[in-house]
Amino acid sequence: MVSVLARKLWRDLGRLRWQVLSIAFVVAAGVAILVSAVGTFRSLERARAGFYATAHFPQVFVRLTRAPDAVATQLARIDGVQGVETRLAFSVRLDLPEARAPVAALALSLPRPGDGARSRLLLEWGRLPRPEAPREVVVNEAFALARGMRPGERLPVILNGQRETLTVVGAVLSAEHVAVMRPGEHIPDDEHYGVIWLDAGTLAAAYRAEGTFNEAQLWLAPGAREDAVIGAVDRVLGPHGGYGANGRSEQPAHKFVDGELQELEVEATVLPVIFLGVAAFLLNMVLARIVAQERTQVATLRALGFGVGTVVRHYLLLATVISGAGWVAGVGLGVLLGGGMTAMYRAFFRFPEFEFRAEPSVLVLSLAISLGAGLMGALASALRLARLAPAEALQPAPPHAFRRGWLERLGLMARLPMTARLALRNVAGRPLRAASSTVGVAAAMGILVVGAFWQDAFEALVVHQFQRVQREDGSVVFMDPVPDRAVRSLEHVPGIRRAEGVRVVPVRMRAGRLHKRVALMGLPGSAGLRRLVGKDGSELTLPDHGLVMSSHLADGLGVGPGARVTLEVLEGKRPRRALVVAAVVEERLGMSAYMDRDALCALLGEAPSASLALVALDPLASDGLQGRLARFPAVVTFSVKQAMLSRFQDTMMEIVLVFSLVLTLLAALVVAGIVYNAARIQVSERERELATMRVMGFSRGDISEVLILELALQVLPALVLGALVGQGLCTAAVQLFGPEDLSLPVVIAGRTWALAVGVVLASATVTALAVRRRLDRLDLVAVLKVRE
Amino acid sequence: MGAGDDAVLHARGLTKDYRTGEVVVQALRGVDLDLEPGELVVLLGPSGSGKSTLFNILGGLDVPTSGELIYRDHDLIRADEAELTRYRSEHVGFVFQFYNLLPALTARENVALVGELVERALSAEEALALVGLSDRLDHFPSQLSGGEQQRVAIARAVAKQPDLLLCDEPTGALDVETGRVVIKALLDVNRKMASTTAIITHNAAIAGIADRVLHFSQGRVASEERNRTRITAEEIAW
Ligand SMILES: Nc1ncnc2c1ncn2[C@@H]1O[C@H](COP(=O)(O)OP(=O)(O)OP(=O)(O)O)[C@@H](O)[C@H]1O
Ligand SMILES: [Mg+2]
Repeated sequence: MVSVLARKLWRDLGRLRWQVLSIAFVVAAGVAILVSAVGTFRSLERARAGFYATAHFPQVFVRLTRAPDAVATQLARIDGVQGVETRLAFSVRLDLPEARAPVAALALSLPRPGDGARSRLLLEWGRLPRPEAPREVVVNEAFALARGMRPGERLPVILNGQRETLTVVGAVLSAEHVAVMRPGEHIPDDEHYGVIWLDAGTLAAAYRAEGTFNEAQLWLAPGAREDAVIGAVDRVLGPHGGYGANGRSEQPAHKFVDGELQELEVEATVLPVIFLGVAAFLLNMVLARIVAQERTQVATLRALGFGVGTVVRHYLLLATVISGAGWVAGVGLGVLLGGGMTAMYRAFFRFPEFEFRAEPSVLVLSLAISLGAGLMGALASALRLARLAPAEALQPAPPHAFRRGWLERLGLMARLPMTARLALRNVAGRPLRAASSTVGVAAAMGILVVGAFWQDAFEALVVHQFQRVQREDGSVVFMDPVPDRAVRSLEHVPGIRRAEGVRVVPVRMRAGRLHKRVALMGLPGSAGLRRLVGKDGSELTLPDHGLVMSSHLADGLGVGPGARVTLEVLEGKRPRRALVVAAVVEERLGMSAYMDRDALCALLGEAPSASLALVALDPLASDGLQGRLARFPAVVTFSVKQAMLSRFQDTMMEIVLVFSLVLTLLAALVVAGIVYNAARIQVSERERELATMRVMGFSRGDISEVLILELALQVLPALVLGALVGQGLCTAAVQLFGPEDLSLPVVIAGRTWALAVGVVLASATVTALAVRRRLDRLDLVAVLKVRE
Repeated sequence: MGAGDDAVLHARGLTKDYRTGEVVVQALRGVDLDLEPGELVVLLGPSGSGKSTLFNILGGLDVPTSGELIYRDHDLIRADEAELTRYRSEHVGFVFQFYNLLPALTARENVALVGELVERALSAEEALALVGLSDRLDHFPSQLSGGEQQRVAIARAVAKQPDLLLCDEPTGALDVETGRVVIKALLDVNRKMASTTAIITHNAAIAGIADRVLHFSQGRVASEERNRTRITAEEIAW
């Protein structure tokens, strides 16, 4: 008995092969996204955690003006501190005139042998400098890679005004420098900025800093409270010009990588779950309908004496085979895709051990979801059929009860040709069935939109941030604040059309228990190269008093216009002042705070000055500008916005777009699978009717027209509904989007809509052709011979 | 057998083989048949003897393996799919054991479908009046009894005023009384419209209504008899 049912199962699978394949494919797509995305994301997190552990990444970081080495013992005595490491750190310029832009580096002293150093540099290639070789250095690996350095490479470095030629003996990975950013910048520029480690004695001698340190890193004892330690460190270092200690959350490299991980988090964890959820919903719907078509067969089996359990088990087995096959394929595809994505991310995240691994919990979860959804769909239908008294089910199924709807009452029906009337009736007469197809297609289209819209959002971000808000072409950073005169003199440099002096100071803002460290920008009065854009898109003028902050910062501090925040300046005389938030502006990148420059300088107790100049360039004359600026002794760096922008596009955007591509591709497959299934089920539900029409003498074209019209009646509303679903999912995704200083607008460009609508319509067209082919081959005699 | 010159349908040596893997079933083994204009023929025969197969071929639903089949001056053997479709739509009406109505259409609309195929079609009201269903015009199939559904199917088949009306066990799913009503409807149609009508049945009692009775056996017309007098539907002794 069972073997006969097994044979039926086998035949059913053969008969439904295209449907089985396409359903399995929908499941596979959902599973593959989950397995690959979550796996990649977790592998990234694991790689970072592993790296932190092997590299002994510290927990607290502090910079200071200078302190004698003995102060380190005071730090070590702080409650909860397990270890301290001090060093010298200086920004240095590299004398590489042939480079396209000035190359600079952070020079760090290597721990002296016998210091009992905790932090570890992981050698990528070469070796560490020998203690007795004061001119040997190692550099961070990304810097070496970007500049094509080899062992033995000569590096001309300006140490405190003196040109020294150092020799690169190795490249290292450092947990502290996974991403290396120039002070004040958000994105690494490995070609022009790196880290070099060299003998402490050499560095101390060059800067006359023997017996002192200007940076310290601390490791905490298990269970120690970070805030308490930070407070104590600040008290110890206050007299030595401490800039305020911070934990990992404000350590630039950690923060950067954290931001990138957060960027991925929604795309890599939340969306795939939604994807699989949609796939599961579709699987459920399709299997329920497939089983529902087996009415007579179930009745026959029951009449023959098969129990309800046996019959139901048969259909559950069918569901299991389909979802199980989809799951297996999905895991295979997911592992492949995950491996590929991980390989791409190796270019962004330079962790020593970074391998893709499928998460066992994800495998179990996806198996449970796929099997569960399939079984539930099949179970509901099979139970309903099996519980019918066999005699009742053996009667020709009662024709579906159609009623006259509002369409007739309006008298519209009568004017339509019969094929249209038939199609309309079928859709309107079984609204739930039609709606389930429409909802299915809409859901699939929704995930396609949310998969594909990231590029649009990022492009809109770029336009807002880099065209509306930041209108400068570049910025010039001064060693120390300069008077306005110096800024004016920049305007005489050929290639610079305009220069605006900005005073930037590091501050900590507090509001209640919340606090943030930001670079506060004092802007010159008139709206110039930096614009303040309100939430509604209008431009604001900078008030004479009070603070203007970006909505990120305001949210981070939990304040709004009119609220008071405490400002702690972290340099110079370190004044503290309570200020009112005058306005909140819309910025999409970074946390910024602005105030009037004169007011800021007054607060700092200085004459009006500038630490940075925003410049507008003359594109025709800006060649060689680097060289001309290098002759200004006060200028440390000059950076071009365009270069920054392209680095932004190559890193932060690219990272998200990798996932976006995968999401889009798989979503497109889901759309195709679901449109095909919706139509295909409809064909088999309607075969008999259509055969009857053919017998009467309607042509193949006529009956295809009915079905295709019906398909259109279900797909066209799905486009509208799908657009709404997509919009909703994008809004949710953007709200969940992780990084606190990167906010994406919900912008869905025309091309994304075109893609989504195009995929739906293309799937519908291909499906229509397949339906047409199937109807052309409809065996009239066979269909009509069997009773419904 | 008739002269064949004025026959509506002229079949000679029709065979039909069904091939399933190694096994060949010879459903028809050489059928010779002429249907005269307006006559009513009843086809009797054991199950599996090939009656439905023959009807499907006569009605242009299927093609024979060999033989000759001519409808007036159209050669149906060499007709392509489009020509067969046109043949069915213009000349043939089918009635099946299972009514095969379109559940989404009312009785009136099921019949009116025909109007989209042929110009000369009766109005749905006229056709339904022929089968005595004038009062059920706007009911959907689910709101009709089996016999009523079958009468709608007949009305639909005759609405195009077919030259050939093929009924495959039209009363097979019906009780005696309802069967009688359906047969009466078929007789009325045959009389009023002079459609050549052929009815397959397992019920020998129905044979009395026919002009001619064909006995089918093993894929052939085994014998044939002509009724001197035809009985009415009421006279059928089920
Ligand atoms: N598609 C098919 N494939 C194979 N054999 C078939 C097919 N259709 C019919 N047959 C065979 O052809 C023969 C004639 O079948 P047909 O349906 O014409 O019989 P029938 O006289 O109408 O029988 P019944 O009175 O039971 O309806 C039977 O033996 C049947 O098994
Ligand atoms: Mg038969």
